Amino acid sequence: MTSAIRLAASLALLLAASSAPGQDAPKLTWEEMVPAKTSSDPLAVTSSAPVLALDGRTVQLPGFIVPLESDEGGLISEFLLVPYFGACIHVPPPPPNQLVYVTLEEAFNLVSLQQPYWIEGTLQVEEYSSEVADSHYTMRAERISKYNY
Amino acid sequence: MSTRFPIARLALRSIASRRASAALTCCAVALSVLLVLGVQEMRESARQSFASTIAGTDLLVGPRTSGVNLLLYAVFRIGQPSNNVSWQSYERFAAAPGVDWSIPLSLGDSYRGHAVVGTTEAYFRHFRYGRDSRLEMTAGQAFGAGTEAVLGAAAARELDHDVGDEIVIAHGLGATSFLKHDRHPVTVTGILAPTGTVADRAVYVSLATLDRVHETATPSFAPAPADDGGHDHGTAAESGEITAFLLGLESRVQVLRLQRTINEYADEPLTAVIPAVALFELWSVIGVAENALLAVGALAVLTGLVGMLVAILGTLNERRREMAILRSVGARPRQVFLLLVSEAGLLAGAGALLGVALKTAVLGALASPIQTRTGILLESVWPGSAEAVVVAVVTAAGLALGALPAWRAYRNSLADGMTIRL
Repeated sequence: MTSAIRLAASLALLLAASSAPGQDAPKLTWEEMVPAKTSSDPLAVTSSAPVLALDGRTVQLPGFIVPLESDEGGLISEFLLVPYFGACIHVPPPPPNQLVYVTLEEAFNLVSLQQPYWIEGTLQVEEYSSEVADSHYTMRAERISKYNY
Repeated sequence: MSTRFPIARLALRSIASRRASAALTCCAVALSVLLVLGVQEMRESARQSFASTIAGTDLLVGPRTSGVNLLLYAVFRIGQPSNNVSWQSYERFAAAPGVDWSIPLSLGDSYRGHAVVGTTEAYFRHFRYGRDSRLEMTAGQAFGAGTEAVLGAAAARELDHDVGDEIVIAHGLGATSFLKHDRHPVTVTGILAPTGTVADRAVYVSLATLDRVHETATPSFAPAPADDGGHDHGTAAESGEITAFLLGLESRVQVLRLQRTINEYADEPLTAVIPAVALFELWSVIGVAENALLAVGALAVLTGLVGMLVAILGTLNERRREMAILRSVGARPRQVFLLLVSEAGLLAGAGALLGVALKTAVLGALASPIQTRTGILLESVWPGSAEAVVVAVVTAAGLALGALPAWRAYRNSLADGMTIRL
């Protein structure tokens, strides 16, 4: 009897591990990438600085891809990950803490600019002190999968 | 299977006894395989060539137009620019904070059918292609302050020019133009190493050289015949304009912000595109045509195989005697079935192999003219895994289609048995 329960429990665990993203890196939302407001003033400008605590965290982040570089076969090797489609054309660009500069281990075949993807990798905060370039997130992507609505 | 009926040998012999029709069937399959492989090869090579043409550039800026259009005419030199960019705007954004380097491009002239690109020596320093490769000189050096030119590898080879030669640049983009700026010959100072891209086919001069050449642009005779009307190209001195410019940034993360700034620039309607994005959009457009071509190729293969099927079915009746004899010497209906299936498989397989051989020969022979004409480098002329897959698929399809005549022969051999009346 107990062995049967144990078997069922381990089976359930196994199922949970394989279906749910239990083994996967924790999912991150774009809201979490903006530092929390420090002042209580509702008019305080939301910061465009990255959250330093995210440096070195391995996460999964959903987003749209703006290709920056493709290889000889037309596969994408570097891109910007942004939270909404059309970030490169129609609307003001997202602030630096709402985009991630992603480099890839191996180039991948982007199907469509409208297709969102889950990108998994280790976030890093690149600190800049120049007058134009701001600190921003970079990521070396380890895994890319299609985002299903 | 009994050793008395070596099916493969019988099939070979049977095909050999009908050499002429078998050869024709083989050819039909081979031509269709050649078509599908050729289309595939050109598609891959064209894509590779396009994708290799520009690298490491963060923004491509031109007059207000679509990104794909700008990429086509400014980078691949396909089509005509619709408008120009003022020199002031170029200087404004070349000096913008965060911009690492900039390359101005002034197009619209030609030298014996080769595009003349007016630029600065920044082009040789910053332009990248392929996987971040720099342009190298095989001979000479970049142009200096004089009226000097640098030739792309293919341009130098086709025109048979060497360092020190003098060339005369013509107006317009056609292979011949009757407006030649021949009072200002340009001296070749350098030749670029081959890149396998459109950069090989161009003639590079400094913006100042283009200006000097254009000072005498007024024709000495009445309106030029057969000119393509490409007169609005202008240069820095003539009208203070260039065709487009390339920007490299210190930090790629800045690209969206600068792109927005340029697109919103109030003083002049400009378009800034990320080359990789425009290239991707171009693929989405071309992809449809590519797939259509591949579908046509696949249909051609199917047609070739159906032709083979018809040929085999047509001979079935006249081969009733042959089947009956085979049966009389102990062949089982199953073996008759296998015989016909393997004949079909052999024909299809041989046709596919012949097609691969043809494709290798044809593309091998055409590789160099195609490169000089289009700048597209056919990379993998030798058969690879793609060809192996095609051969396997065609052979398998041949075997499957062969089942139809084989089934009929099988039924016949059961029904007729030894009692067939001939």
